[in-house]
Amino acid sequence: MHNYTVNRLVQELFRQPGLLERFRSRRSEVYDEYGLDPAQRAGLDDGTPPALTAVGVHPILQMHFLLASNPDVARLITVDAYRGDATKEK
Amino acid sequence: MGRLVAAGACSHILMSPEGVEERARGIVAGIRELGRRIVASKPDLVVVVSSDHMFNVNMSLQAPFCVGVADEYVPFGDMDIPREPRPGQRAFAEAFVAQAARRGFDLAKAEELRPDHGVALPMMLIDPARTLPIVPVLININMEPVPGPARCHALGGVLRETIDKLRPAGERVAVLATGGLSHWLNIPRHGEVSSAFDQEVLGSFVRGHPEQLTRLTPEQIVEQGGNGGLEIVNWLFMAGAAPGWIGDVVYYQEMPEWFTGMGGLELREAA
Repeated sequence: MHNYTVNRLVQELFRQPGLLERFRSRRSEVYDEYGLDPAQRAGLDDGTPPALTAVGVHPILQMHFLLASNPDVARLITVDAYRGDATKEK
Repeated sequence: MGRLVAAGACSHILMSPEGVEERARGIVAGIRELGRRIVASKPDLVVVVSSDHMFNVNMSLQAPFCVGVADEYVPFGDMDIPREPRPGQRAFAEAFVAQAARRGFDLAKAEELRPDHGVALPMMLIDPARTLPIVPVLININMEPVPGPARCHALGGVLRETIDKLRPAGERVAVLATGGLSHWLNIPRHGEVSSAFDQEVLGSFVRGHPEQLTRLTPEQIVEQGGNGGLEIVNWLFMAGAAPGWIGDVVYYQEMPEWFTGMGGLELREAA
């Protein structure tokens, strides 16, 4: 199966309303909806960059996937600590 | 005719400052200093050229170049960037797209662009009041074939032509490139930073010789600066709009903890 199938799912995670929540709570159902084959399901279930690379997830979309599935990555890649910098007087 | 009044470039990501507080403060201060200089030039609008991180331009439709032509932009909100609107500048954007078509560049136009961190993060620091209109220009480094360095540089020349020949008298325009510097993201050598590449890139721009970078192929840039290093094509677009300009490095930090080299510069018209 072409790797667009799995990339299509990942690139929609932050774009399609409700998909991220469904992915987190009913992942298998989302896999069915996007027509992922067993190898692609296993790659996303593993979730590490090498596994994602093996099933053809684009390097940038790997970041989407990690942000969606790994709270440690989401805590690292955020501007939360800098909002004061953005709002203070020049 | 209008006038290019400021040109600069900066990296466009921030991560948690935990454990790297001093360097993180230096980076934020550097972006803010670049912003202070841009704002001091009193621009009527800022053309912000960046890559999109597949929040807008993804694999479903892969356009090499895309220009926002909307009246307003609300950030996508990745990296928890506030979804607060910022004005656009439709007339300028349309003029640029039209001039580009006359010069052999067919640019995609976007009404519903939701700028991701590439555009929104620097502008959050540079113009927190969100009063400066922007024209986002997205260069798609995430597709094959990647828009080449020379072509991106040439498209910056078309931007300058638009400013100089087609815009109203007195209009003041700034151009800000974002992205880079070296980073290897989810490819072999993931996490590496090349300060040698970064310094060569910064030096080429501030000395007014970006053309040496236009001779690189995308593959050579990836080899030397990583797949994220391809974002220097955004900087080449900026320099294409400012031929002969020279400048200074505003900040630079190797940030292996953030998996990237971070830098910023300002270019000025040579005296």
